[in-house]
Amino acid sequence: MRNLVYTAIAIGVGIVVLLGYFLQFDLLVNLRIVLLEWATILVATALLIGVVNLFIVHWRKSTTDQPNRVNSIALLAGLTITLGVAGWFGPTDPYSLWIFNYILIPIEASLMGILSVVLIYAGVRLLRRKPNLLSIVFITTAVVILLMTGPLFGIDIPGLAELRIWIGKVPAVAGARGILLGVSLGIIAAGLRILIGADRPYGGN
Amino acid sequence: MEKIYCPSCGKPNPIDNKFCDFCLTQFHPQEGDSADSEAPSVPGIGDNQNGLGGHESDSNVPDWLSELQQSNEMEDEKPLDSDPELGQPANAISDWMTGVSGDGEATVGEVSPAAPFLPDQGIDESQDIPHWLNDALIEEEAQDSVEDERPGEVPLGGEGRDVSQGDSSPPKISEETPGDRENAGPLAGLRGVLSAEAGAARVRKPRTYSAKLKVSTSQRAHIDLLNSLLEDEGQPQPLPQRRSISQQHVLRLGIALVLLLAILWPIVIASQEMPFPDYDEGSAEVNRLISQLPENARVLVGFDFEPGLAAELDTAAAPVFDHLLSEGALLTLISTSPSGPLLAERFIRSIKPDQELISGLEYVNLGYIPGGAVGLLSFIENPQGTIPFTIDGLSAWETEGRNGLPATTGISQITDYSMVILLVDDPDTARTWIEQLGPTITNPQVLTSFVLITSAQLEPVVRPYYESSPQPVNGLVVGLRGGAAYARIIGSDEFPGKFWDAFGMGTFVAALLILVGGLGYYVIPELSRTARGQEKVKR
Repeated sequence: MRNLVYTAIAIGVGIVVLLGYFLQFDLLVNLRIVLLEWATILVATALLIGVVNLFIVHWRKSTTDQPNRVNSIALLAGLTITLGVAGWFGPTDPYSLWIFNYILIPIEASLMGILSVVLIYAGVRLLRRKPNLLSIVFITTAVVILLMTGPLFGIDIPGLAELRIWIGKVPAVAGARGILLGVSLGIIAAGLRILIGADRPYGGN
Repeated sequence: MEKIYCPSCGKPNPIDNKFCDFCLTQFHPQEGDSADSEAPSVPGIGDNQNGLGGHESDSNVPDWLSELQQSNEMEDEKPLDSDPELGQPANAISDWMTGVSGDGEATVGEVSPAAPFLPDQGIDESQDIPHWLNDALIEEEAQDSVEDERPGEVPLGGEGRDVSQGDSSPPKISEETPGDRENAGPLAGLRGVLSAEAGAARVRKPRTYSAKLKVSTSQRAHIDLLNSLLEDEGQPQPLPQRRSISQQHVLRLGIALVLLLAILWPIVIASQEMPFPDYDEGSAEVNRLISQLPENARVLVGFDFEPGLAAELDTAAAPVFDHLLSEGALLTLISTSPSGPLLAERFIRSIKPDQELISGLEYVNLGYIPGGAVGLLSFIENPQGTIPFTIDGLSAWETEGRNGLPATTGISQITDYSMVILLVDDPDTARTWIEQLGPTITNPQVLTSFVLITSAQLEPVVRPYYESSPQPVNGLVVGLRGGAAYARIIGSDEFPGKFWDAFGMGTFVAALLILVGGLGYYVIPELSRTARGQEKVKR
């Protein structure tokens, strides 16, 4: 019985929001807006619960004798300090921005730097590991895009700029369109399954 | 009621029985068995007549046995029922049998069931047993033990006979074996002589079997091998030594060093030699849209990228926002990423370091919209209801009783903005914005334009939206190249040229490393393989 109620609520809300896209009745539009605001509040609450859960989990890890407890202690320290600074001074205060500018951004930027080295290394070894036509095409495309994305010292190699534009507009866009179409069809299928109750991610059999 | 026990099978019978009800062994001596006959009326003798008959001409047969044979022949001619002597004392039992029984005084009328043939009574060794009988017993015992090991054979005694069939004929003697011949005592030389002692009376110790497993040499070798394997399994095996510096380590380190030097060199020497790109269609379209904005136009800006890509997107967006602010646009900042509001605040404060924008007056930071696509749709449908306050806690929107912030004055729905700009690095986030905002933006009556400033990696994903018709995306600035193109269009000095040179050098060296390294890795092994093949062919 309880599962039936869940299913009815989910299907009803889904249909109301979906119909709001197509029918511009005041009642339907207002109901849709209210439901969307509820969903936003629920997600924000879930985010807070997630943060609290994260704190509790790592608190337990740090208070028990576990091999990686140092990581948990570092996480708890970072969470507490950031929460304290942003909560006390405000999120846009220079102290809060200092933490953001000089801790978070350098860490993530350095990870991106490491990624660039790893990708070049993988490109170098690709022909050795898989010396076939697709690998050659892949490497050639990457080299052309890299060369023509930068200024290339002002050197104009005939045909290379046009090749770069063609690759960016035809094969790449064609592939991206295929991916987007696949994603869209998948989303439609998933949405319909939820609307008819075939999929119940909210629980129930 | 008195009973007599059969000396052969040991089972009780009525005292007046002449034969055993179970094994048909004759109990009492016949009338013809007079005292002058020394042959004992041992049960079983009559059974062995057939056997004896075969040896009539045998010169080794003693006299007493010949007489016994004759008397048996006479006895066979008499019906058993007419024997008047039944029940008479068993005076026909010879001395030697008396000795075996240990009770020579037994008579037929007083036959003691336990007398010498009781099955559960062994031979009293304290009594005098003739040496020949003793030898015979020993031999018979040895023979029995051999027969016991052949379970398929039925012993000659009465236990193996089937009396249930009511066959009154004397039991037939089975095939003769060499062991059947008596070789001692008065019956020496006869075949099929039954033992004077009932088989069931002999109590033997149960056979004992060895508990030890017989293992062959090869099996022992296998066991030892298995044991050694199991012992080795429990022992920690040392990991193979990894070389501290392998070829791959050197290659990775070399790539990192070369790339670092290539990027740092233009920055160190402050080189600004590399030219900006001439023209970029998407950037030019964005420039056109911004140029057409009315004075003090309200512009909604979404900051939805990760801090790791802040360098690229901040640099690419700098000339665009320089142009936008020069047109007097008022900005509303928002994000569907938790780190987005701080990225927005950081970016706004870095656009004009010498002249900071005033929060609330020139821009409003609405902060974070939770809920992803749902939150974004809610904001598009109802901005004031979804995010009523700024990140600083101020009331963001103009209401009936209260004036809103200047940057949001006159905004009640998303289409009141003149332009929506999205800074994005993630394909899914870009798709979510386009899908949720597209139906509103593509309405011909709506004048709001939608512009994307993206990371270079996102170009193939967002370009289909830009090139479709109707356009959900009206302008596109892609990466540093798009930002540089925009800076060249507007003639802005906001785009840092030293980064452009470093970027150009970095991409060139990366392409060179992939090309040269890849060819080297592929060509050198191929050449060496070909050379080895040719050498083999020559040999």
